[in-house]
Amino acid sequence: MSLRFRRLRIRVTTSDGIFGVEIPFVDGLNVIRADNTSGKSTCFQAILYALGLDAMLTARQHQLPLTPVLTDNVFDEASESELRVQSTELWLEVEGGGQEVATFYRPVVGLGDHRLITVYESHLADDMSTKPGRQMFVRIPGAATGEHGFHRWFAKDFLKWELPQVERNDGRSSQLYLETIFPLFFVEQRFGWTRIQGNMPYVFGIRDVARRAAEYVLGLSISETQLQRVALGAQLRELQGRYSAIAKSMQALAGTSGSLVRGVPDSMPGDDLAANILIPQDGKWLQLPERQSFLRGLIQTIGHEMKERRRAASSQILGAQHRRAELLQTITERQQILRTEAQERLALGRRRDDLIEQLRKLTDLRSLARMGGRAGGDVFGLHCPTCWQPVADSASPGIKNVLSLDDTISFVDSEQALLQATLAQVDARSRALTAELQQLERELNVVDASIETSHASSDDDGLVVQTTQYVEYRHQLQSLDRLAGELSARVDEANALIRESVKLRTAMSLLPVGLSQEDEVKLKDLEETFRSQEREYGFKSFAIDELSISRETYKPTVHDFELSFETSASDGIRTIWSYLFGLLELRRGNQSMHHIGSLIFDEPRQQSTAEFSFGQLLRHASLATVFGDQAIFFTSDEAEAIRAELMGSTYNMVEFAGRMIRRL
Amino acid sequence: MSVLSTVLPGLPADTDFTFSERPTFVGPGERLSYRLAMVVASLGECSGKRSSYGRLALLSFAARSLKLRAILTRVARRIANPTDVAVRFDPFLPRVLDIAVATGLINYLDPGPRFALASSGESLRAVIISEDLFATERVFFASVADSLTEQAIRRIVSGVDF
Repeated sequence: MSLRFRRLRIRVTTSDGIFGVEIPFVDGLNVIRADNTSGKSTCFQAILYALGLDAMLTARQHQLPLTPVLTDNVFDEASESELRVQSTELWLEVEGGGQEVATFYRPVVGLGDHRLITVYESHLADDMSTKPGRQMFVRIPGAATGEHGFHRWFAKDFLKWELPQVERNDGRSSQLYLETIFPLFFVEQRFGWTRIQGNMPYVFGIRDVARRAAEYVLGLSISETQLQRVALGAQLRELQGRYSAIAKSMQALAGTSGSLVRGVPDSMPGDDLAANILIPQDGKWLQLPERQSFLRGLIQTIGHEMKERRRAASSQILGAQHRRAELLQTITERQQILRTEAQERLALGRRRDDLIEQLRKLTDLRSLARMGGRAGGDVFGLHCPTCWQPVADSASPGIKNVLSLDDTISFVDSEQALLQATLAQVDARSRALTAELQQLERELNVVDASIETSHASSDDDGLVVQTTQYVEYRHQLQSLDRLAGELSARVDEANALIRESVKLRTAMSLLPVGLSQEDEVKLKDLEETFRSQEREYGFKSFAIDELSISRETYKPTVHDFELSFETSASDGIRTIWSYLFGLLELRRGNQSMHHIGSLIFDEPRQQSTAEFSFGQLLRHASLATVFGDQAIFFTSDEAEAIRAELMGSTYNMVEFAGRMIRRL
Repeated sequence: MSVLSTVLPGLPADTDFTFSERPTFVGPGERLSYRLAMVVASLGECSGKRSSYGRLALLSFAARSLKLRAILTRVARRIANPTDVAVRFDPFLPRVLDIAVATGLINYLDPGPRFALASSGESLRAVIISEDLFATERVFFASVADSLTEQAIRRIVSGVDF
């Protein structure tokens, strides 16, 4: 819990020998006296550098925050010349609260990486190269938290501090860095005396960093509350972030289907989401379930219509096919009849031709018979020339009674007429049959066409349109179902986050607000010792009774206004002394504080402070011996004056005549 | 009587029945007069008004129908084979020729059987021609009578392709 400085060693190697200094420190007051510009600030800075607290000296990460004597040239008093620095090394021996000793080695230039600090768990010896040491790094990310980070080791393992998580300006949280705490223990000359925590680095982006550091050093319980608040806030922000991502994804999801999500605010609401999805339809916005049910109805209707259409088409086809079979059979029958008729007609025609032929022959024969008497004698009288018996006009001798030529002609004629009539009938019947066949074939064509149409109707334009619509609407419905499912899952997820955040908010609201009684006592004590010291050092700007410690910033205030240093520079210095020693002394009765028990001031008197006041400070600081604290003052005040002021007090004075960094 | 009453009830018992032979219908092809006219007409178209029995038989057979005339015309013009013609034996032809010879229409020539047109036959033919009778048959006879060789006639009549 405490840190005592035991010894600082600086070694500067030049082309012409080794230069350096070694300063021992004891418990109680240490006064390191040297003239101005002789290297006090170099040594002060070297201590901070050895602790890896460079950030307190410069905001520039890659710049060495050290004076040129350690980096460039060292002045050789003997030759009165500047010598080129080849390498510079620092050693700092410290002691922890349990008397554990550690020596830190850090090169400056010329010897390895200056971001490496070697930690030896031993006293600073003349030759450290034989000691076992561990190398750790500083000034690069992870130095405060990484396994090989020097500050992680230094805070956790050496100082036994659990550094708190604090809120950053960007809303995230990070660890409170050592660099932000040590300005309450170290006051550097250039910026340290302008205000309390004058060497505070702001590069870490920690919100209210000075206040957080003071809270931690004071060990206020509010800092615990604050920690919890920060942790809860971080969780809340994480939830909010996740919620926002979900909300955005819901909007995006809805956007892909041309719909809108309502009831999903960008920032997390206090209650469960009442999300609904709006889908455009005919210039109106429908709720998702309305649209789904509309689509379902549409799909059902179209599906039914399509089924009906197909059924009608198929029954039409069946009927037509039946009719077609009937027609084909009838046509076959009729064609058969027609063929028979044609054959019959042919036969009848032949017979008629034959009759006509016979008629011609008979007619000619009759003419010949009539002429026969005149020309051919008895040729057609037909008597046997031998017996003179009449001979029948038949080639066959068996027929005796032959029908007369006239009767035969009229018989053949009538038969031919009858045949002609029959032929006319046959022709009429054939014509009727042919006409019927043509009619049947026409009907067959119509039926065939209707079958074709019915078949085609299963892919006619109407059905194609309906099928397309059907598929389209089903696709839409499936998309909407998916959308609804996904959105519902996201709403559930969002609601889980909302409920979780409500719990966190409740927990946050239950955190105690303001200072605890213990904190109040602590601050009251700080206020008392602060006032008492201000009085002691001769503070005059305001009445001492008007001074108090702010319960907000934990800094000195007058009538709730922060004490401004502009009115009186010397009162400003006094205030810093009073406040920092106040903190140091408050530690004595408070184990809950995180104070190293040491104060290191570079040129604490400053020119504007009266000798009287500084004497008071020296005497006050010398009391540290009594309480086991440590105060280290680098000063250029006259040695005699110091000794006079500290007459009767215990202190350690290390005096340097001339330059502190000198040839060894 | 009793049988008639049974067959024709109500027929008066004293009804008289007379049965007379009805004249038989005889077509021109079976009429003797037509066949004689054809013998005269065909012989008249033959070279020297003479013909063998086979030629006469073929011509008179073919004269009977249009179809036969057409086929024989094609055989005579060497468009069809002699065997394409199916000639049936005409049982009445010898009788017709006998009567024709007896009535003096034609003469039998030795060595037979060959026939020549006689003077009566010439008279009859003159009537036929002058009255323009049997024109179809006469045109046919004129177109084929001399075109058919005796050998072809034998092949047709015998049905064997010698």
